[in-house]
Parts: sequence; C-alpha cells; structure tokens
Amino acid sequence: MVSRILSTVVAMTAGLLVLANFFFYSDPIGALSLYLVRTASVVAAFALVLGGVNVLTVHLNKIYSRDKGWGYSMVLLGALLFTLGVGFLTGGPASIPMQNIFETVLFPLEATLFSLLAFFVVTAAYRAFRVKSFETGLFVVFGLIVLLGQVPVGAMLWDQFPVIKDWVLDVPAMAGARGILLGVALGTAATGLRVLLGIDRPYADRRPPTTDR
Amino acid sequence: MSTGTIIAAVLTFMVWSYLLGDNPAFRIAEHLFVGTAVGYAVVVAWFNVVQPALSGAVAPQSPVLAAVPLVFCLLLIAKVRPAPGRSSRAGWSGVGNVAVAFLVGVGAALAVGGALFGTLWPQVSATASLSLDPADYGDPQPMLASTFFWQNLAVLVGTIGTFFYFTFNTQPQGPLGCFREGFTRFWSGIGRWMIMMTLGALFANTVMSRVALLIGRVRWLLDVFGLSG
Repeated sequence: MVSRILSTVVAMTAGLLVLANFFFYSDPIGALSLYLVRTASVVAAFALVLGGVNVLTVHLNKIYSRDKGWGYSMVLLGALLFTLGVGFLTGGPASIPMQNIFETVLFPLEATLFSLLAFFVVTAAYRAFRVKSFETGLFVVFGLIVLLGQVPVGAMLWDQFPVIKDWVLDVPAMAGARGILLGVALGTAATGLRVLLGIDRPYADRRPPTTDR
Repeated sequence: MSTGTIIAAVLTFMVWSYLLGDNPAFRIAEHLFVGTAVGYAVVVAWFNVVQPALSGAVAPQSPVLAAVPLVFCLLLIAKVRPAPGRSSRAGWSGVGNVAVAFLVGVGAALAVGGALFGTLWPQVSATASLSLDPADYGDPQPMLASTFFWQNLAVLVGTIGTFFYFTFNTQPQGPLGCFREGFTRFWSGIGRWMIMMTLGALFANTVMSRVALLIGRVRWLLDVFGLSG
C-alpha cells in the first residue's frame, strides 16, 4: 500500500515538474526539469542493462533444462557474452574491436534481415492489391502511382508519373497523414494526462483476481 | 578479401537462406543477431549513460542529487523477476515500482509536451495557414483558376475528414441527433478515403525502402566477389 502511494506521488510529482517546463519559462523549473530528464535517461539505460541480464538468465535456463532449441540459445549466449566481453575489456563501443563487430556482424545481419522483408512486402502487396471495394481501389491506385513515380521504368512508361506522385505525396497523402497525426497527438496527450493525474497507474503491480463465490 | 568481409558475406547468405524455408542456418544467424545486438546495446548503455552517471555527471555540483539516479537504479533491480519455479521476490517488486513510476511519470510528461508542442501545435498552425482568402488570389490569376487554391482546399478537407474519422460516435440523441450523425458520417467517409490514399502511398514507400536495401546488399555482394561492372 505504501509503495503504491509512494509510486503515484513520485510519478505525478516528477511528471508535472517536467511538464511545467513546457509552459513556464523559469530557470529553476528548467534546471529541475533537465535534472529529472537526465536522471530518467540513466534509469532507462540501466533498465536496458537489466534487460540484457534477463535475456542471459532466460537462455541459461533454457540450456539448463534442455528445452527445444537450446542449441540456438547457446549461439545467442555465445554472441552475447563475446560482445559484452569485447566491449568491457576494450573500453566501450568506440573501440576498434567493437566497431569491427558492428561492421562485420551487426550491420550485415540487420541490413539483410530488413532486405529480406522486400520479398514478404511484395507478396503482401500481391494479396493487398485485390480490389474488393472503392476504398481498396483507392489504396491500390495511390500505391501504384507512388511506386511507378519513384522508379525509372515508371517515367519511361509515362513521364507524368513522377509529377503525379509528387502531387499525391504533397496533397492527399499529406492531408491524411496530418489528420492521423492530429488524432495520435490528442490521444497521446489524453493518455499521458491520465497517467500524470494518477487516473491510470501502469507502474502498479496488478493484484491477482479475487474469486467470488 | 578480409576475414570480416567473408564473415559478413556468409551471414548475408545465411539470412537469405530463409527464402528456401525455415532452416538451421537462418536460425543460427537470427540468434547470433539477437545476442550481438543485445550485447552491443548493453555496452552502449553502460559506457555512454550509466558509467558517466556513476561518476556524478548528472549533477556534478551536488553529491546528493548525483546519488538519486543510482538509488533509482538499485530500486529497479528489485523488478528483475526470478526464473519460473524459483523463490518469489514479489515483496521486493513493490519497491521497484517507485523507479518504474518515476520513468513512467517523466515519460508521460515528455509525451504530453511533445504531442502538444511538437505535433499538435505545428500541424494545426500549418493547416490554419492554408489560405482560402480571395484577396490572396487576385489578378492576374483569379482564385478558382489557381492550382494552389484547390490544393489548399483539398488538404483542408482531407485533414478535417481524417480527423473526423477518429471521432468517438455514440447513439445520437435530441432533435439535432440525426443531423449530427449525418454530418459526422459525411466527414468520416471523406476521412476513410483520405486514410486509404495515405496508407497506399506509405505502403509504396515501405516497399521502395525495402527493395532499396535489397539492391544495396546485392550490389555489396557483387562488389565483394568482383562481379560488378
């Protein structure tokens, strides 16, 4: 109960002080807000470190209990411990060995995994580009216009495709994106205010459901 | 060809092997990626953020204030849950909630501030600055013959329509209930069209970015093996 009240007080106080800096231009509030944001960034970074520890324990347990795919967990743990070892022994992410790991393993794997999505996006497009209603027709037509406007073959087919593509991105797509952004911003502000006013408390532990007889 | 280049090329083929179906080579590459990415992220977080904070960089002039982030970090350790079947530390979890609450509070405040002053205000200002005033479309080009007028009108109508699409509707009541329902339906219908156009354009851009990445990897491989022209 005490931690519940304390958590709510901490969230509301810290949040309202940081929010005040957006509305009041005052040196003490600005300095306090900056301090709180810096503190939060340290805690968030430490949470990332704890996340790494969690990954370690989950896969150690998987290996220990010989769960399905424990061999792959060994590969993951090996890569994790190797990267951690190199990082901590050579002085951080700016060291040459860490840069080598980034360029040799991390970047190629990330770029190739995302490039693999090209195949799946194309198959998804094949399924999505079936016109079933007027709305899906709009989706298909505008998607094709933007696609054809960006590739050389589109301009070869009709030199107006790039011009129409620019108009689509500048007028209807921008209007739609602007409306979506306005809705998202209002939703974010409303949800954030509910947290700051203590109406929603996502940080509190959920109590186990009680069974009524 | 360096060892690093050979490793990168082998890993690239291991990932692409997924096109033939799920296989051990892809699974190894996948787990290698996760392990390396987590390790790299932990090293970056530790050396760039946590370690400077340990040396008091957050508030160099006050040791007490500099200790606050460390206290929150220690409290956060209580949130690390034991493995299933091990002894429960549920009592400690409540202590860790204070650190999580601090993160959530500051995060919510930044989200509200960012939404209001980073998105809502600039977008409303940009929409309000679109001119439909005939005085702005004087000679030699009259208003209705101006492309800019029709573009401004389309952006305005599209933005309002899309915004109406997110309106929470309830059963209309009162004498003007039907009018209100019809008004909302009309604008949200326009909004649905605008959203489909926008999603079509965004989908096309996503396809283009992924294909560009694919072309980049293929060209890199061709360069590595000396096959590029």
